[in-house]
Amino acid sequence: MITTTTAARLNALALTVLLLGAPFTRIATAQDKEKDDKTVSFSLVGGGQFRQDEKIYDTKFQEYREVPKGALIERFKLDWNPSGKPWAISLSGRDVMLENQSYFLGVLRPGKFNWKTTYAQTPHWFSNGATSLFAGTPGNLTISTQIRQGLETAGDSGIAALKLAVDEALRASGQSIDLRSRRDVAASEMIFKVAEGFDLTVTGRNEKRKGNRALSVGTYIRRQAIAGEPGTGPGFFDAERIEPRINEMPEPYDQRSTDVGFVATLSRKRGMLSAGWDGSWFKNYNSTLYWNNPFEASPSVASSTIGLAPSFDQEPAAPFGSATLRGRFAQSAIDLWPDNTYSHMFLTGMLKLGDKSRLNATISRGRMSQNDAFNRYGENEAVVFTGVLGAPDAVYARNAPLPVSSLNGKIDTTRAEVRFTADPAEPLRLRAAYRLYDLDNKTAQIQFPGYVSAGDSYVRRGIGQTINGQKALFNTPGGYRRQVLTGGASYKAGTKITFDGDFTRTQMDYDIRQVPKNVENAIKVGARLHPSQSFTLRASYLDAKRKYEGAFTQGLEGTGIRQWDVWNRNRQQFSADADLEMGENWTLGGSFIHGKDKYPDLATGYTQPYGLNDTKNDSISMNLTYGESDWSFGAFAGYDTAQWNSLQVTKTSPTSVNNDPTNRWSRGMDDKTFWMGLNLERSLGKKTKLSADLNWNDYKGTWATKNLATPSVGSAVAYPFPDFNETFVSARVGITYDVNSAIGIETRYRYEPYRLTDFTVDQMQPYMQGVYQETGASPATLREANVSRSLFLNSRYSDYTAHVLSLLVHMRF
Amino acid sequence: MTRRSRWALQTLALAGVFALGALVTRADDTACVSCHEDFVKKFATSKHGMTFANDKNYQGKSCSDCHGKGDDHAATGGEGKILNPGKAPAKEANAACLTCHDSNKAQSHWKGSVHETQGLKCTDCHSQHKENAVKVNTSMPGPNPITQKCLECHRTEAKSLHQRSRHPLNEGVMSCASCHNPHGTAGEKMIKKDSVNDLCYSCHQEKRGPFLWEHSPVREDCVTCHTPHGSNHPNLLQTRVTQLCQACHQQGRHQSIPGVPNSVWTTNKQCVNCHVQIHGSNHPSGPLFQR
Repeated sequence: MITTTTAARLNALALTVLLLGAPFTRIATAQDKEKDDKTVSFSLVGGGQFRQDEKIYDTKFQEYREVPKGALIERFKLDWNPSGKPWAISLSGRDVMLENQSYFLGVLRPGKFNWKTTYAQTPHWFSNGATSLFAGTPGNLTISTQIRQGLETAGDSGIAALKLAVDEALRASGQSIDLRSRRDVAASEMIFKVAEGFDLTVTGRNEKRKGNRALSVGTYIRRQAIAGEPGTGPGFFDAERIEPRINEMPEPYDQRSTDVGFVATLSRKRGMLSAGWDGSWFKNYNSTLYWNNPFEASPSVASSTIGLAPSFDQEPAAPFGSATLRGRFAQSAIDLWPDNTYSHMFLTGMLKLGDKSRLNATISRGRMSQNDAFNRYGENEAVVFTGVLGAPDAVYARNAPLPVSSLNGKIDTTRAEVRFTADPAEPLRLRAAYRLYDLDNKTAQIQFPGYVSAGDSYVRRGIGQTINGQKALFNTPGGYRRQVLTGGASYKAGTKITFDGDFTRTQMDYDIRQVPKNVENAIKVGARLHPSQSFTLRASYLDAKRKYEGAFTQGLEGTGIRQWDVWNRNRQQFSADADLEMGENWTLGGSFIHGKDKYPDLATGYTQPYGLNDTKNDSISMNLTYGESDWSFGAFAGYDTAQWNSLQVTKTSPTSVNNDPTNRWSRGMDDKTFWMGLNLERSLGKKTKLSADLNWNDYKGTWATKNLATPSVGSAVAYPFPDFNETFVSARVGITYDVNSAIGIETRYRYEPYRLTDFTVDQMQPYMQGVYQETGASPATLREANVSRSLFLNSRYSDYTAHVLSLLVHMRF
Repeated sequence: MTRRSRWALQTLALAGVFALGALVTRADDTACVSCHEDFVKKFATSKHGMTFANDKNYQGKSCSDCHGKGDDHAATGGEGKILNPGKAPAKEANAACLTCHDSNKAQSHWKGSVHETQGLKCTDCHSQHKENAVKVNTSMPGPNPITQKCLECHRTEAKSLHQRSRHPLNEGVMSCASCHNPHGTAGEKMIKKDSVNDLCYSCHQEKRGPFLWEHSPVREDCVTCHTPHGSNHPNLLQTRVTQLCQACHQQGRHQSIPGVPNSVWTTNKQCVNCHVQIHGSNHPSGPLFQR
């Protein structure tokens, strides 16, 4: 990755070249003027830039770009089309030597070939103010034993002592890190014209992604008897003391992907036939992230005496879980993205059936494969035990032999589509299509003896699955089949109005979802009104009803919740938009959208519609444009709302109080977004041009949670959540003065303030101390896990205000 | 007639046709140049102009191939005497372009596509005479011209360029055409791949899998949780993580509580603080998408 310093140095060099080259553009221009036909054109915009930002967290400002201080070459373009020669070359670039630089090279030989090559870097900055205790190398994060021993000892003395110890460790050993990654993509496409109407296309793409981003691993521990601290309940969630531990760390990126493709296309007057193959290979050079537990230096407590019953899949140690077996591990590992491959072939064609009808057909087949070696069960050395009830010979260990060494996963996809369009008579047009997409997961089912959670010192039998009445753990590879049948017609009633109508039937067949099948029937009707050359109005209405067929199986979710993406749904949408041309130069446009989804019916045996309920969205926007030869103006503004509502119930144990209506609560998300923009291009005399634009987004959101009655358990109490606010403004104004036909000078100023209020990140600190509050048995008392033993990276967006002043030279010849 | 003679005659005949075509072209263009000199000059440097000049399959094409015979127009100067695709009705205007482009792979799904059904014209987006095929009206660096053109009609998407989370369209790295083919495709929503997920995997290859522990809604449709055009919430999510997860998961314990603002369930990545491999886990101990 090129550092900012290196980039600045290279930019300074580039600027020198640019300034020294400026006089030559005069010469070149003079020479060009002597020739009537120019065969080479070159343009370049470069100069210097001053930037001031008032906050250190300007990650959002430079999220996908680098805004440099100092010299820069903003863009250049070279076109070479020699007179009388049958070829042309085009070379262009943007943001030269910056993190987001990109280049394009094109060679066109009409009738022979067209070759396009691009190279583009895309940075992604997640945070430039993160702090971490971790050291080591990418993929192997370590914290010294001394620090961890200190925190472990302090933790045993209580929260207050741990807070002090973490603060001290961060002060003494915390390292500032930038969380950012960058994609470097080189891509090329060559189209050969082999013969008239016969093309061969070859494509290639190579991507390198390096850097890091925040990744966390969580577990929790059950502490029931720390002196002076509450939480000594009987082991169930509503009545015991749980301490979650979130460890956030930099996830290393060192990934490559390589894609190639070949396509042959035959085009004739009567139709087209195209066939091709493409392949993709993904390689991750960091397939596992090993990390030390910041809070523990000792490898937990041996668990050889645990009586693990085959019929029980929760934590062992009678009667309600052991305080010492969770979250106490010295090191752990997390599996990162495995290598994979993809192969895909297709055949697509179009056939004209006379002058008025045509048939399109496509069939394709793809295969995704993955066979990376599995990691062992765990890294906690304490996980070694025998003596399982009912299975005296079983031995559980973190490095016990796996049933298989890798997944050998395979997913096949098949897509087939046929589409027919016809204009049987002038006012009437017909269309019909059938589409199939089948995803067949051919991965084998594997049964494991159990698993070791990162925070545990023991093996669990499973997560609720059973085989022959015994708890078991196995994967459930599944796929689905999606079929879409569409039929529609347009009818032109005279010259001023056209009616459209479409019917769509979508059927989903699932292998392993909560329902075996659902079917949605949708009708969409619309009209296009065109009363005059200058006015167009389009309006449409959609009514879609989705209903599942067969039994709804809740699986592990035994609370009557309705999985919203497969559940019955009634959807209605109305939209309208209009364009009005006012005279030669003005155009006024507007649009309105209203949509709502309703989720009717209840899960069998339940009287409450748990899960997602009605959602609604509305949007209105307008735009106004003006254009003539020496100036143009555009303005747009919009406002939209989106509401998301759900009904939940706090499930408690023992099961007798499951779904107690008094513990119901609702949650509503209400997003409101306003946005507007202006742009202006105006000639001020013959040599001066004014350019300006403004973009303004303003978002307000609520996260409202309400009880419907007085809850009987503390963990069902709904507490108020703060609102979200976000405001973004970008204003730019530039004045360009053309010294002559070859050189112009531009002064440009950008003002960009950003404000974010988001409690989910605002309250984050490297160590989440100060939020410890849970005790008591009263419903009015907060009883919930907090983040008192977590260690975050302090990775976040934050407010910034940026001022950027650019002085640019435009050169062209 | 010998085979060689037949070849020679055919070649001569073909050359004659090309020569005649070239003469006609010159004659037509000459007539047009007398009034539209700028257009004809610019056209020569456009992709169309270069193709007409150098691709033997298109040599002989002239102004009249797109605009129709211009004799009356030249005689009277009347606008109505010649086809101007920019002002003509969509069907008539598009027919001029589709004469050559109808059987191209990229445009072969135009008929019956949403844009065609809604009465769009090729000239609404393209400028056939100029070097740049897509026309826009700003000189400031910013989104790709294709994106700017799409936003002229898709106004509600304009906000997404500056939302909390978004794809890098504002920087010009991506454009709407990175995912959609505005001329129509075999699939839905004019997307370029077989399905939404196949499209997302073309850049996010790491999420392709297969994984040992699959998350069904993820495998079925990325837009179950994400909204690709931009979001007020992190990671292009439709809403906050907690809400999304609790729309399906209420099994018990922490999945079913409303939470408080400073709890681990509502802070930072929320549920994904722990269930970090939510797109699929390949670890033997990762059935809960975590370790």
